Amino acid sequence: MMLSTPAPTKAPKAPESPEAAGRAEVRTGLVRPDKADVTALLGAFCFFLSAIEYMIPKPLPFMRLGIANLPILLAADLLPLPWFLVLALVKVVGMSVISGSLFSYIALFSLAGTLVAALVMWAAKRAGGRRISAVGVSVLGAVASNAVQVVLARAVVFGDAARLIAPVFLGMGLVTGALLGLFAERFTATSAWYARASGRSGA
Amino acid sequence: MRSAERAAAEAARLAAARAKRAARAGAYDALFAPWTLSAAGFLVSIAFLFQPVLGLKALLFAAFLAAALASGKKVSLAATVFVSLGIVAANLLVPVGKVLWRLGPVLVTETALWDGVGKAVTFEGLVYVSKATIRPGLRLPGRFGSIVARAFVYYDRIIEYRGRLKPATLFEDADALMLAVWDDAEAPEAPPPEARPPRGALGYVLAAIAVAASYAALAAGILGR
Repeated sequence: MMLSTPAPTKAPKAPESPEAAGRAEVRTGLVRPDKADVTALLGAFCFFLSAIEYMIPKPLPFMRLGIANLPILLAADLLPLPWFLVLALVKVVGMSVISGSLFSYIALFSLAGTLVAALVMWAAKRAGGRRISAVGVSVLGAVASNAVQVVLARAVVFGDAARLIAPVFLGMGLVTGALLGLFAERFTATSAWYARASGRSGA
Repeated sequence: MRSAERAAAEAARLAAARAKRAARAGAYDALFAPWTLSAAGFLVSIAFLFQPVLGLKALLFAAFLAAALASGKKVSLAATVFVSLGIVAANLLVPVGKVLWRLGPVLVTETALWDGVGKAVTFEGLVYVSKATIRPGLRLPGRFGSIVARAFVYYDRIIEYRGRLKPATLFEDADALMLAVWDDAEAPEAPPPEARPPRGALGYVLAAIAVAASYAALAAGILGR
């Protein structure tokens, strides 16, 4: 991605077939979007955010800020549970293939952290409804993810010393979870893409 | 002027290193089919994980490091040393076994030290075996595989996106990015498997040797304990 060049205006291509026309209707919000397509797009954003996160120095490879969980947070309202879990798996497998860490502990930490975060966020969203904000959902997911990673770190890497990193790691989850939640709250309120993907917009 | 020359020399050195890595990756990918490699990597990583003798584990680690280098993947020995020292240091924080030395307030104990070294070798060894055996051309089977492949197509579109993400207009810019990536008339289909010439027998033979050697080392480790 070029972050330094101006965005060219992109002329939309005309649909060439009934199938393409159907997909275009989906994209303009006339019918509900294809779940596989939304899952793939959000999965791609997980890969992208993970690549950005990869560039941020960290003391240990699995100690991540969790920004790659942002698309999963956004998906909590967009996808039904089976597709939501597929997205979590796409994120873990795709990121592991990109970074070449599929058979390492890093993938194990990623799998456990992502699945637990996804399930906790899903449950919080469903149980809390409108009473819980995106910040609350995100903080719960981030802290749960980091907690399960500390437990894994104790089992496979650090032993009893894991309790020494736990406060820092859980505190980090609290802060990054809150920041991601704030971003998600503002993004979902203003995003035209989000409105289309959730089938709420005819624009 | 000198600093400009130094910067140019550094850029040339990095470009040469990248070209060498790309050449190694090309030769490696011509030798091994992605599925053969990943299957071999999976089997080898299990044998490595359960290897009980630290010396043999260290030998396998060295072999994985060599394979990762040969595969053209970027390898940072400094990061490996840094992470390994972190793991060993964390294990030393809880003293277990005979006291070997005192480093200020920290007791270096025998069991904790070897546990830490073993965990560090395992952690980094699995990273290197993954680097050597998981190739970008790997295509996963089934419907799940096709969704992952479609996600990679979207990922390419994100990378190729030429818009800006500015802090002042982050939300609008992020929305524009999502719309631009999504707003093609064609939803991306999973790309067909890359048409590559079939690999010769050498790749399969080498992969089989690696698997056999890792399990022979595992058997030797278990029997020799």
